[in-house]
Amino acid sequence: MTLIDIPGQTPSLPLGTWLVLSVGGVPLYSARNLDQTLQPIDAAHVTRRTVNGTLVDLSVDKFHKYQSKISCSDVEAPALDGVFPGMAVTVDCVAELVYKTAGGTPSRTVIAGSARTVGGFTIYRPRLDMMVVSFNQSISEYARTVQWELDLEEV
Amino acid sequence: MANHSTFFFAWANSSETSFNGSHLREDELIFSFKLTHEEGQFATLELEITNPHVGLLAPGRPFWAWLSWSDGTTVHPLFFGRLVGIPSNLFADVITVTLVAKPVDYTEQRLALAAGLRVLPFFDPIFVDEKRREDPDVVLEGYSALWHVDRVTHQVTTSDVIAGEEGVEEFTANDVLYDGVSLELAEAPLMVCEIDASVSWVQCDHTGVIEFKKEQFNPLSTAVADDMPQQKVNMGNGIVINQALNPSGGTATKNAAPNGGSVHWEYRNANDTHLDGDSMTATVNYSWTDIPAGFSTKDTIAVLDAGTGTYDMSYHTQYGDPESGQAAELQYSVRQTTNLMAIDKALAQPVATDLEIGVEVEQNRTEIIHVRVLADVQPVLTEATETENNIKETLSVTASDVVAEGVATASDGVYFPTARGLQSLEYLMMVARAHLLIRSRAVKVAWECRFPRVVGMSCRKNATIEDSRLPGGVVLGKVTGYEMTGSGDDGKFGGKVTIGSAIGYGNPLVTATGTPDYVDAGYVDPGYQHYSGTLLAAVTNDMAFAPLAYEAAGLQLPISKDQILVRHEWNDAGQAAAAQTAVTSAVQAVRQLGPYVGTFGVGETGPSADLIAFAVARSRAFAGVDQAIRDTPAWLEVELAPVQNISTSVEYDAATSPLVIPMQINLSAASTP
Repeated sequence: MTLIDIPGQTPSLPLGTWLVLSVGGVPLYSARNLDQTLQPIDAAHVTRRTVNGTLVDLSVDKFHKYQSKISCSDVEAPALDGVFPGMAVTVDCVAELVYKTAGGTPSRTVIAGSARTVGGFTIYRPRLDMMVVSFNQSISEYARTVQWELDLEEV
Repeated sequence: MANHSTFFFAWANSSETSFNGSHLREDELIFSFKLTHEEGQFATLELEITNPHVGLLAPGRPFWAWLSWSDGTTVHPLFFGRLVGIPSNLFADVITVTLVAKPVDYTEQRLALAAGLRVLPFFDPIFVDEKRREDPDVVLEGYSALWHVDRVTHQVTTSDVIAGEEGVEEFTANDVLYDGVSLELAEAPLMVCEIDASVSWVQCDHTGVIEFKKEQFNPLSTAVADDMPQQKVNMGNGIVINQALNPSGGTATKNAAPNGGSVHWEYRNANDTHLDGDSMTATVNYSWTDIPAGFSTKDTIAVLDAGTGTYDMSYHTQYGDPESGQAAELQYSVRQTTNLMAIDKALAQPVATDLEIGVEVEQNRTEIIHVRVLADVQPVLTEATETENNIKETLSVTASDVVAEGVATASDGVYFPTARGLQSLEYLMMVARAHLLIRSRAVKVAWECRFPRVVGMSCRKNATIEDSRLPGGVVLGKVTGYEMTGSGDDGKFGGKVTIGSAIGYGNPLVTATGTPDYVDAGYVDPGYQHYSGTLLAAVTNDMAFAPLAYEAAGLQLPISKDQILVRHEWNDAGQAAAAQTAVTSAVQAVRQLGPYVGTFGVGETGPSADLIAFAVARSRAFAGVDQAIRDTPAWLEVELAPVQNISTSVEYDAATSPLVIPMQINLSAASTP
């Protein structure tokens, strides 16, 4: 097991990852060195260009939400038995959000102990209420590697 | 910094009909637009704009708008119109609004324009229902034109479906997008248009007079005299006996007073002294009737006029003288020859009677004209059939009463051959022409082009497109529609033009003077005689027609005797001669009686027995004359055809030349791939 120490953050990776899923869970040796994306949902990206060439944002604040893809290759499968699309899950993200410390506030719930500052910015890992969009996994028997992906979208 | 093209959109009030610098605004963010103008329709503008989340039709909010475009140098107003309504996707972030370029005073403009279009031969009110004559749409039925509303100025005009009024836009191969060109045969052209039209009116002429001049008959034929109308008599079916005249000008049936006379004589002895036996007073009354009762009212044809005979009377009085024993006496003598002389005259000279019959014609006349106009178009089908290929159109119209419309008079015998009737014929040809021309644009060519090329486009223009793939390499047509589109999302701005191309041959019109039917041309004034083979150019100079020959049918006005006289017979075979003999004998009997000379004695209060005997004999003699006439009757029979409650119908086949249609595309010409 590899421990990663990040300055200013609690160096505690009992399962080899900071990822926490409220449903199922993250077994040991299943989520080490995972990748997590965090990007706006499609509905948050509504722009049109006028006949005079001006790009106009037509999005609405309430659609300013995230979608995320967690992918990993480890030796064990994640505990996603019984997890299906549409199921709500609270995700303690590995991905981080950053805002300007002066005058700024976090837009999402900050996972306790995850915030740190770098220069004039505050970096934190968000806790997001999400919904399972899709899930897939595969295994290589001889190599004993399990590849899995979990697509999530903020509710 | 380079000049960029810019679109402007400004909400406006309806009164802001003139575009100016204040409209160079961008009141809405426009993501895309589509300006469409179809022939005969209002231009429309569809816009995608951000949802302003306000009531677009809220009170006080302007809902008219100007769309304009600057090419970097010049600003071109593209559209002025009003919001059609609230968009259906009102809750969306981007809504689509539609505006229409319908003028505020559209109705008024059309009414004013239509008023000037109601001219013959393009508009003939008699074929239009009275309730629809003010309808501006109806006025164009005789025009090969459609309404046009300018999308910017909102001026209402008409535009011909073949020849535009605002020139020709030429599109070379470099002006159009290669893949954006299309050609299709929209529909088989209309090759025949047939119109059956009927007009009707009541031919009415109450001034007709038929005279039977100098109708000779035995003057003593009392049957004729009896049946002669006493006064103006309506015989029914339009026949009226106006009068029957005898030669002397009096009515034959004049009820003349009986000839006769009376004598009243009274004597009074006015001497101062009287002797016994003197007659003091004496009174004589005597009256007689020479014409038997019943005869006097009938035989007036013989003109038993007292003035034509003789009448003399004499009397002698003798005063009584007691001394000498002379009794007073009164003698009265009357000689009557009047009637005998009149009868003699009548026997010697038959009477001629002028019978005048009034003819009050009321004839329901219907004229039906068959107009068949062919279109001189290029074939698009090898075996086209009228029913399967919809190449024939048949119309039927009925005119209102032409007399009531004031285009004919009740006494007119015909309609269509008249000058006004020929205008009606031309109108029907114009209707057929309009149908044929609009369907002659059987080829539809459309192409896409750069946006600036359609900025000045109009449905009042023609356009040509050069493309080697088209038959002949170039096609001309009337602009039937165009579009301007723009989208900020993909940056595409363009135009599309659609034309309808007529597939005629463009042959010249053939007219013909024709040959005169009666006398050489020039011998009589034009229009006086009929010409055979004449083909006159219609006012549009693209078709011709032959004047209609007069078609006689039914009663012709003015009415003539031969049109209504069915039978005219004297039934006096032998009777006249017998009557002459009998009457002569009877008259002789009267004459033999001679005059009566009677003597009235003083104090007698009544006629003497011999006077009474004479009067009886005289009456019997005259009665013998009357009876002789009655026993030998003669009569006139005149049978006339009815002139009312009758109908007649005439049909005309109008001869027309094929409609000349321009060749805007040569379908037989070669093309190059």
